[in-house]
Amino acid sequence: MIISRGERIYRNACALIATMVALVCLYPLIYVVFVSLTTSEEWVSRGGIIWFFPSKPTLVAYQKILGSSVVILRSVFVSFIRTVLGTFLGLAVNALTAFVLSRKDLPGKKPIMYIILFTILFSGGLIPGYLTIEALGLKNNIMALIIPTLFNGWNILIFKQFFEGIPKELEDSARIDGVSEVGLFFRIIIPSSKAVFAAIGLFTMVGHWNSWFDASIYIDASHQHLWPLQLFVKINLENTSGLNQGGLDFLINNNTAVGDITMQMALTVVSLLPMLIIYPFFQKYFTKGVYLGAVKG
Amino acid sequence: MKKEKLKFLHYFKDKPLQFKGTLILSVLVLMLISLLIMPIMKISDPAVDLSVNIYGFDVIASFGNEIQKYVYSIGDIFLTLPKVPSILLLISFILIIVSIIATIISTFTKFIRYQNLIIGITLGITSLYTIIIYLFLITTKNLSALDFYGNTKAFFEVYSLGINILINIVLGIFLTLIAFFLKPNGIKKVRKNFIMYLLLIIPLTLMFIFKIYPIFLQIILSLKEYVISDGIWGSKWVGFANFRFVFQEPDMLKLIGNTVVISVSRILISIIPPIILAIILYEMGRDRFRKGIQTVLYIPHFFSWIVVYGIAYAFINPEGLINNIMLLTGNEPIKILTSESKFIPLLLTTDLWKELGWGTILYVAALSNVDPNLYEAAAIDGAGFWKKLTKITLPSIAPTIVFVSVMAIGNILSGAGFEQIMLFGSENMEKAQVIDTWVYWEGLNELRYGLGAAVSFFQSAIGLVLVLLCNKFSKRYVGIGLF
Repeated sequence: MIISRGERIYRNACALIATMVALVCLYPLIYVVFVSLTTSEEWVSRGGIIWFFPSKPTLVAYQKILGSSVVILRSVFVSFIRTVLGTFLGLAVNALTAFVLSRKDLPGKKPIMYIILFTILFSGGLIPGYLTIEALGLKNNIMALIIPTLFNGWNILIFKQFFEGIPKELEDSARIDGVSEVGLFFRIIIPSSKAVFAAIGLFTMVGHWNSWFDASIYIDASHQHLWPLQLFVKINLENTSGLNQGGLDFLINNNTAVGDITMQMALTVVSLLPMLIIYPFFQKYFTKGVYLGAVKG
Repeated sequence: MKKEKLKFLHYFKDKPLQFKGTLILSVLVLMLISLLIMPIMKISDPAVDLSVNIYGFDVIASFGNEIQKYVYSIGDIFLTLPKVPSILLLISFILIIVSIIATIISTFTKFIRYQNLIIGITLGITSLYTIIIYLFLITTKNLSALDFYGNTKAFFEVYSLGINILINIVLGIFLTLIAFFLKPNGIKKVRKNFIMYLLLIIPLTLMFIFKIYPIFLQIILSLKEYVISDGIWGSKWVGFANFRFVFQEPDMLKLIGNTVVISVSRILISIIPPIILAIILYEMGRDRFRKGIQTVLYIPHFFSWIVVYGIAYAFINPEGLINNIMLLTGNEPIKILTSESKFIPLLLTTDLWKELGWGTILYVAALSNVDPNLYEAAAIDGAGFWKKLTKITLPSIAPTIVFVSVMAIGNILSGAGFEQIMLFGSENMEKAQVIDTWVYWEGLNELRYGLGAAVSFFQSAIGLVLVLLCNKFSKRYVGIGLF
């Protein structure tokens, strides 16, 4: 295909615009990292305007966050536990349900599907959900952050759609080889739907790592040791005066080498880092699985 | 291997009716056991954090006697159970036992011909009875009971009913339906797929507890005026008063207005810029380079709103970058975080930053399916840039555009972005008052549960209708639907 001169200019312009948008997207992130490395001396001397990498970068903020108190590490651990358990159990529950519902010839399959669809479209809302958790005695329990999220109608629909697309011949030949019905799930279904597992796994993982609101209502300030990282970050971003429950004393009035803003930005970086690290590993599955996930929004 | 594990299934190979009967029988026995060994009622005094569980066998033992119970930190206490509820619950035990006997008789004797009717009717009566006494016990103010201190109060104020009764109601209805409608042919399929049904037990239990029960609770709450001392069940029924409030209160109109304004602006922000960006990405060619750029563009989508808030905070806090620049250039600093007029623009800017790249993914996918020959043919016909854009590019993503916009409209009442507003706004900001935040601030925090439930019921109901309509519309006109 021959590209005319006008066309080439047009393409280059598009590339330029796209690059600029990507830079605008990236810059705030880099800026936050810069601030998190800035000494208070430099911050003051520049009038609080840091465009580039600080001239005397310091890791004091990170040392303080991760070293001087167990609080942050503990909340990282809570986030980690809920993410791992929530993702694995969630995948297991939803994939198995979808597997069962993707069998043909299963009496009662249709009404179950309609009920699941209904739970997607109509929700009980915040208050009844809270009362249910309270009635189950799950308040101030880390399970309150995991168990209610396990059943997810959307994920079941996505899994089911995908499983139904797997050629029946594969299953039939496995049956001839003596694989049991449940064995099909492990031998045939899982190996041929890695993409959808990866995509839903990623979204569940991101959802768990990023969530904070459920913890803020189900876990009281008296049980701070069960707060996930995001909630700690939120509280310390909003309230530097430390009057609020959960404000970390060592983050404020520190009178040391770094200012409040540096501490806060370091905290932000710590809380976003895991997502940044896992993201590239899942990218290769994006084409297939994510399309489904993106429809879900 | 599989056959050995489920040997008992083999026994029923040519006996579908016996299989059905046995299945129902085993569930019925489980129901009876759950009533006997799980707490069926709880007597409590929340003020001093005192509660005693009453089990099924306590109810049976209680006739004519006081029952002895051990309470932590107090020691043994003696309770007189209220008569009427005990008798009502005892009858429900008896009904279950009758159902068990009826099931046994109709399954293992010559009455098997009438199995459907015998089991169906006895179970139907049992379930109906349980529903009626459940509703009666949790709502009536006329039944009296003695609390820990010997004071006479309404039954529901002293006792709460166990979750096992509710589970039994659900199971009872379910078994009744099975008894009536499961045909021998279906039973054979059930037997064949028995293990599949076992796999469904956990997910469906989770669904009932965390998805269906809250919906039921929401409907109940929305018809009541919640008073904390009376609990959910004891609070007064007020009919549609909560809903009337929703429609009459001028504040509500403002709330709905705010929600719609924010939702609609977000829809615009989440559709138009991504379309433009997707077209730019498509037109730029250079596949490798484009992939790199896409990778960068998708990143912010994976951050939490807290992180986005933290990043925004670096720029907009009173001593942040923007204000420092303002000071440097001799301007007045601006209070962005607390300013009412900058609230919505702030929401939209951060939303744009977070979701712009991710928003392109559907359009990029749609564009990658376009046949490149189309463009070549168009070029040969002398079509210019504009012609190609309007005749090939846009039409090929039009279905996606319609689908995305229509579904966003379906979500209009819940699409204002609850988490984001919770972070960027505050309770005393007028523009931050949308339906979701109102339910949290005024409903949950102020204990106005009835009103909160009515508002979110209204929101969910409208949302349901809108989504169904929009889905239908999208399916009919562009062939893409959610389900």
